[in-house]
Amino acid sequence: MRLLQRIFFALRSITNRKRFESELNEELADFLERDTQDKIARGQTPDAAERAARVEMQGVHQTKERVRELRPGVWLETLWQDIRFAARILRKRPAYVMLALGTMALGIGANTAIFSLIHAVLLQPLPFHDPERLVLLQTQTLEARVPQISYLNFADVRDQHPGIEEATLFLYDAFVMKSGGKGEPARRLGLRVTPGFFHTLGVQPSLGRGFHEKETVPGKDRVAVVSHRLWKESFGSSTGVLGKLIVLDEQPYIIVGVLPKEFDLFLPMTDSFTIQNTDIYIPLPDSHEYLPLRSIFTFEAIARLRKNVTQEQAEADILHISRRLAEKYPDTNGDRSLVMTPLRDHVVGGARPALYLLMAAVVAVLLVACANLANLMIGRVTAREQELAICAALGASRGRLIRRLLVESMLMTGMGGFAGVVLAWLLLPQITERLASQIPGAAATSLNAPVLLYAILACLLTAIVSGLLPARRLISGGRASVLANGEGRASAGTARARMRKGLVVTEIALSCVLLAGAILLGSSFLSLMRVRTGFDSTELLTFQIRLSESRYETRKQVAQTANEFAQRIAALPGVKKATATGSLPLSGHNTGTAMWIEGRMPPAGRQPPELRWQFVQPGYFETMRIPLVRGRLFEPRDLEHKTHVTLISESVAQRDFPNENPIGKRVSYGAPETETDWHEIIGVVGDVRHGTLREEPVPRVYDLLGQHAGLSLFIAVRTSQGASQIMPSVRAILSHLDPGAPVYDVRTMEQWKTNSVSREQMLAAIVTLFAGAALFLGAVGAYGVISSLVAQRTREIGIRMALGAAPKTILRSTIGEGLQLALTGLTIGVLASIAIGPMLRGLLFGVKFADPRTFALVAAPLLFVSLAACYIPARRAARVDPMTALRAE
Amino acid sequence: MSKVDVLQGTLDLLILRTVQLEPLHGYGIAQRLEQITRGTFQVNGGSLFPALYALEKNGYLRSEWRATENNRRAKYYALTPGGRRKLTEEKRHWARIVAAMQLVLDVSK
Repeated sequence: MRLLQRIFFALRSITNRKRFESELNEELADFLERDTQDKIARGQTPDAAERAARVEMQGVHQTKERVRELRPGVWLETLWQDIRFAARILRKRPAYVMLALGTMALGIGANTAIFSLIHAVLLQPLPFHDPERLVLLQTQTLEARVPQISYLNFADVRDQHPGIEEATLFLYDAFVMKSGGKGEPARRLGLRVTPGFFHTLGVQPSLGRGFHEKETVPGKDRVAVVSHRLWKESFGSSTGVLGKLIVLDEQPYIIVGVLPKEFDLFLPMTDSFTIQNTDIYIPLPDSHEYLPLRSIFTFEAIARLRKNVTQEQAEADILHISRRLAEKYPDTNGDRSLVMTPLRDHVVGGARPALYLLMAAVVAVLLVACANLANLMIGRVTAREQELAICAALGASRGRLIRRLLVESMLMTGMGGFAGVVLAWLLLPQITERLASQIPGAAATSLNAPVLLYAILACLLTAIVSGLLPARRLISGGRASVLANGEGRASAGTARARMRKGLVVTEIALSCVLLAGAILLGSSFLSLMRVRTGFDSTELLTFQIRLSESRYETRKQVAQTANEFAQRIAALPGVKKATATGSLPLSGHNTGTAMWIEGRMPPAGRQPPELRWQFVQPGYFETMRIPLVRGRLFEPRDLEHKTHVTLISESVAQRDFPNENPIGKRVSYGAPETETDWHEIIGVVGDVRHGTLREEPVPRVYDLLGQHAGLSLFIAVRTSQGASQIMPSVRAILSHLDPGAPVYDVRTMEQWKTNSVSREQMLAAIVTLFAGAALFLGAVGAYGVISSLVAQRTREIGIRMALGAAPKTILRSTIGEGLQLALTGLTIGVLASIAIGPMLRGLLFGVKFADPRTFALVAAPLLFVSLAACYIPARRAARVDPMTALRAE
Repeated sequence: MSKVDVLQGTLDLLILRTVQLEPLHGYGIAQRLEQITRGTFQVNGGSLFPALYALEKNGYLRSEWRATENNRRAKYYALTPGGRRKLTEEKRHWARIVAAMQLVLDVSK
């Protein structure tokens, strides 16, 4: 009520402004007149009396101004005046305004874009009900934490853990989908889930229903829930989709539900492989072959904790259960423990350091923009000293003058910020598109209310800092300092110059830190790309196929089709070699196993250490150009032999067979039970970086396709031809061999390589962009400061030249001054980079952060840019005509 | 006897006390103060008017335009009920200060 009243008064007093003014005039005039009359009555002359009266009033204008400030609503009215005034001033200085606007647009644009990313990824809750209570159940092996868990372990945790309200188990899978008989068979990713899956996540299908308990029973399990995306793409968003059939791996399923649009499960499985874009959900049947096995760690599991159960308590409980299980089942659980991770940490945890780095980078850019704007403002204040002094003399209070500067800076940051938000709005879709597959939740990035609020706050902060820094002398010194002339003004000038120099040093130091970061990330990216992978990634075209389940009864038949397929591709013109395998380097597909060595059985209840396992066709190593170290490679005849054969990588040979010849030794993948489980080692091949470029090669063994088989196969083709020339023939060959088999994911090995480092590439690119922006702003700042210092000292320079100083000397001393700023900033920046460097450690690869070469690379562009920024004003200084300079004063 | 400026912070009290008996215009207040203090306190317009407007804004004074004794227009200030309370409060406050000052001065004798 009171507030309303005040606003009412404020508004009324604005409308009554004229009356207020005339009444105030009348009242003061009346006072003066009475005073004068009195003084005359006491014997003064009329002139003297009037003057005395005015002196005693201490200035009529000043008194009026002080009274005006007491009026209700005066702030609103003068604010409007100030805004109009600021706008008028800004209109007169387009160059200055453009510079300031550009500065702000860069700073705020970068900040808004990155903050919206951070908001979407780190601050937005996962698209499930009460997601903070969801945890991922995982297995911790001696080497690593793997996301998977075995069914029996899962069941024990679910039943014994007091903190778990409900839990769901699921299996990642891919299907060949034929819908309604039309179109090519397509491969879709999906999950086989327990009936409680949607309930545990707290997701309600937007159409239809989830699964019933009884739908895990074979015969009743032919039901499917599909994603919003699939519904749109294959069924045209028709509401009549429920009850329709889709054919998955040649089995018909009835569609019972459609998921809401925002539902997406984004589960990082390895460093470079993430489950996403899952389109099909079908029940996990009771009859699944892996369910009774405690040793097969192949399922994913998510549990919902009860309300008010703390993470610590839940973790303590699962540790307790895990220990009990290890005692009870030493064979399978002896070396493993069960752990849980908050789902959110698992989903976005990997992206966190990169996002924090980006945030730090944009804040640095904003600080540089802020310093730049403050610098521009100080320059303006210096130029307007006279005007401010007159305002002060006419009775403008200190607060009013400060506010006038603030209004000006706010107007500027407001407009610049708006431009920045527009810039972010234009750029965001492109950034998001690039990051969508890299960072979970990045696809949901948008300029929503919290993001805009952040942008506004950033603008306000910038406006206050850049508006108040130039006003600092007004605040501390007050009117006297503004009015002071001669010595006072000179000292004000030096203080401002010192502040401006400080700001430029700050800008240069910040650009230096950003530049150092960009160079470190860039060279880290380059050294990743240069890393020895152990195979030849050039001229390799790859794709995947999925053979039809119903066509093959034995592994041998799969191998035969694969062999024939590869041979026919190899016979195509321009193709040198072709091969099929279960996994390709850098594709994210990795299978782990343990290797038992004959005559060296591990103690009871213990498993041999893990290594990676892969099945390949005989021509795999020739196609990939993986070198043979000793022994021989697979040959086609190996499939006909009774004994299984295997190849091991160099690191396996070094780890398990030091100082002995592994050729001829027998090993088994899985605890050996029958004689046929044993494989004879026939050769040792070179190590390959298979998982990511970052990872050192992991011990790896190779099995022969046919001894083992999978229906999902990677094909690698060594050819100088492009995909568009080869793929039509490839598709034709495959549709002849296996008409239902889809071909998908066609890309070159170089693309796999780039894909595996795209996060590094993106980081390096963005930080470089920001560093460039900061460098540009820093140069603008340096230029502005040096040129205004030159302008202020025109007279001094003129005198020096009149006394015989050569233009060269003036040039040198002016550049020297700028160089001093650059060097100071550089020194601070380098020290700061060295201090901050270790924080980047996790994001870097193969680079040292305190490398002198890095700093040489930082210093070179910085010094060059600062020198260039100083040179122009310096030349102007050297050209000063002594006579003009002296006359000007 | 030389004139002195009004003590810092006491101008409000003096104004309120001056208009307690009857409404006065600006110059009247200044004059009355000078008379009562026998010319010791001099209030100039530069301090008087901001103080008057502030008191009015805070609701201690109200003002109206009236014809003066010699038929001119002037703005008269009068105490409001709130102003009366404020005056009592300020007087009590001042009395405490005076008493305290006196104690200090007496002790140092």
